[in-house]
Amino acid sequence: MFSSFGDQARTFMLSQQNALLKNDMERLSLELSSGRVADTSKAVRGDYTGLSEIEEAASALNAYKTSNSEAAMFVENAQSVLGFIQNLTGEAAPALLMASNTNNDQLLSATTGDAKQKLEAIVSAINTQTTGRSLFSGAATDSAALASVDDMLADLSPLLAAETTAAGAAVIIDSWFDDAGGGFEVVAYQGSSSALSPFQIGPGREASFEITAADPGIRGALKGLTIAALISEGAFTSDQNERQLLLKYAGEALLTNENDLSGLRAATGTAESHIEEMRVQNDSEEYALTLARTRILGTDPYTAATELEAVQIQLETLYTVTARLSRLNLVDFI
Amino acid sequence: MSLTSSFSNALSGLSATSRAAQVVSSNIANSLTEGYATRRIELSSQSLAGNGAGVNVEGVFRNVDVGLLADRRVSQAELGNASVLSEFFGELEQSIGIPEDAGSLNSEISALESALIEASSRPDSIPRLEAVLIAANDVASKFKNISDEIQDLRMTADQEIEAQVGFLNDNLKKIEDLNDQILAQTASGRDATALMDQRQSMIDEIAEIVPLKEVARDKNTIALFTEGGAVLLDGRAGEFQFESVSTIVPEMTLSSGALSGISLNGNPINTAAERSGIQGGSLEALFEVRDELAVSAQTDLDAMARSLMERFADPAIDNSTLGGLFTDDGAAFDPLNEVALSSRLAIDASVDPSQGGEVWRIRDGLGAVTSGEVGDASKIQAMIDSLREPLVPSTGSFSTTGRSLNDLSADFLSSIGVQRQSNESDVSYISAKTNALQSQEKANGVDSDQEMQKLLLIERSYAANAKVIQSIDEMLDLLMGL
Repeated sequence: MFSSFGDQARTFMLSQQNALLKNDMERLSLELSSGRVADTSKAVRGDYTGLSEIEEAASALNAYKTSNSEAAMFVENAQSVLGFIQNLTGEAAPALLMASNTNNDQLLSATTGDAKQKLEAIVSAINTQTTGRSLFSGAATDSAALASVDDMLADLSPLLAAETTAAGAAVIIDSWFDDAGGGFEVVAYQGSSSALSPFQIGPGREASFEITAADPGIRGALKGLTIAALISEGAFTSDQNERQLLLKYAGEALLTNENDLSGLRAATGTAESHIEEMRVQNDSEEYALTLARTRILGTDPYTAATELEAVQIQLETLYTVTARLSRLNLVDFI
Repeated sequence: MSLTSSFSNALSGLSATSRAAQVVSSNIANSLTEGYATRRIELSSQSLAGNGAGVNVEGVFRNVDVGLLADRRVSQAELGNASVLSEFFGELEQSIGIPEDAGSLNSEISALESALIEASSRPDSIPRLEAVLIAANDVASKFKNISDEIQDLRMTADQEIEAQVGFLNDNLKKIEDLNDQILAQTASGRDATALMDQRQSMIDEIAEIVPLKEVARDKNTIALFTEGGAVLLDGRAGEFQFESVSTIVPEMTLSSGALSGISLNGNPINTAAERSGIQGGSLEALFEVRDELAVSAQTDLDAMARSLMERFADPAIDNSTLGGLFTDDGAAFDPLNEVALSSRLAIDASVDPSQGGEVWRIRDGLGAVTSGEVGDASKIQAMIDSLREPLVPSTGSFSTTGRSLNDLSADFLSSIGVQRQSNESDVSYISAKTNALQSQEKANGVDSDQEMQKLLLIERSYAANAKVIQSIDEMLDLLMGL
């Protein structure tokens, strides 16, 4: 038996090695330049559950950030409207009380005129829209919350025509504003009886804003100023005494309403801080997801660079060996 | 006279050395030829009436390591098998898409979820509801795309089977011809080694398709069997029968009779059995792809489509008595009609403006006659909750714990991915083994240094024999000159 080693075997082995090293180089240069593994499937060993949960959470988080900022703007605007209302009623209440105590006709007409203007300002503020949505209409964000002051007064004043005492007028006005199915709910309030759906401000977290223009706190503010507006329009012009009594009733109503208004503002403030808290949490959640993704798919540039260097040296060695071996054959020596 | 016998001895030496030189030249000429077996010359001393008398050329033989050849062929068949499976899983995984790629199944489902979240923040916004409609359509198309891809892979497998069966049949015929020619050559004492080389490479060509066993018969002929025991060639070549189809849809299976199986010489071969006649090569793997793997992938995909439909068919979400946002080509889900459901997913016409519907029905319910309160996001929120709810899928090969829709699609992808990784590591292991065997085979090939050495010896031997003839000639002249 002779022993020999075929020529093709050597070339076959060298070309296999060459191909392997070149493949490694490709992969390592890709990993080095992009900072992540070249073959995702191999990195997770075929099990994508973790990666898919990260991607789903990241994509949902983006949507929640939009939702959160829209909620924040809505509630912020609502808060400033409530603040505006409270300011105006805070000014109007003492003015009305003072006018009710003095026997000055001019003071009275000036004060009630001013009250009517305040009422119009408040109604218009309540009817403001944020990015096309009504703030205080409940679920019917496409319609205005309140009818105009003129419409309200037009509905209310005929009811007072027959009254002669302030007490009687007060009863009618109370019933118009506060009764379920009364004049306020039928004529003045044009929004929905169902509250706005809660805002989705973060994964699994919602913030509710359920204040509408039909809320007692707002109705109370409107009631006080409406009484003054009715007087300004000419109710009880003949009877100075009754006018003053009615004005006093209006001022006191505004004062007792302050608590309810403050309550509304506090509830809105709570919603605002909750939304802001979730915004911060959403940001840190996003960061955590990025870290998690890098942990699964990222590569260490130092390791990749070192391996690349090693493969390059190996390839150069292979080339030298190939050249040397090709010079070693008997034919050259014969 | 001994002088004449020396003469004839020297002549036999000359012819032997020139024959040896011919073998060396043939070897060197073929040093780069694939599948060439190194020739060697067998010499023996001639015996004439009991006396040694010169050299006899026994013959020229091929240097083949039969065991190594058989191992390498079996390894090639295993490689063919594993490659077909690995390619199938790779293509399927790519078609489904990995989660971070835009356009993957997971990202389309996530996009639907995000569109719903944004719509729930502004339920009054028609553009946002339209975005939900678009996202839902994208999910439905993705399911259809994957379903189509699975059927394409089955179609490719079917066509590939036809091609391989044709190739196999042709080659077996040619090998049969070569066998006959080799028999004729050997029987008349001529050199059949070149034909044997050809026959070997013909067999190598079909080694990947089915794992072969080569059995030597007399006068240098062979018989071929598969590892599973089918007779490919024994005297006469066997013939495989297979019919391909022009299109494949999910309802067509081997058991339904719509797809053809394979038979050898008219006897059907059961490709699904544990041990079939053709097992182990790429042909068997193609049948496995077409009849088992792709079919179960389609079943799982349809089960996912069913889960999707059922999540949206909750009456709390929509006012209608119909199927819900996702329909089976417009109709509600029918458990008897689950096959290929994923290719028929469509969005209900009542929410699609292009089919006469209104997009606000996404918010107000599919059966709503008029638009409801625009700030009401409760149904949209219910859709989001339903997508996320861990429900146990009613069908398919998924686990029996509850999974959200996104997790379910990740499970589907992972079942493919894990199989692919396992197959790829099989491929790399078998590749390495095949390479090692091929390398060893090539090591038995032509070594040009060895041939050059032999040539030096042959030159000297020829010169010596010629010198002997010259000397004997002079001696005879001397004798004649007396």
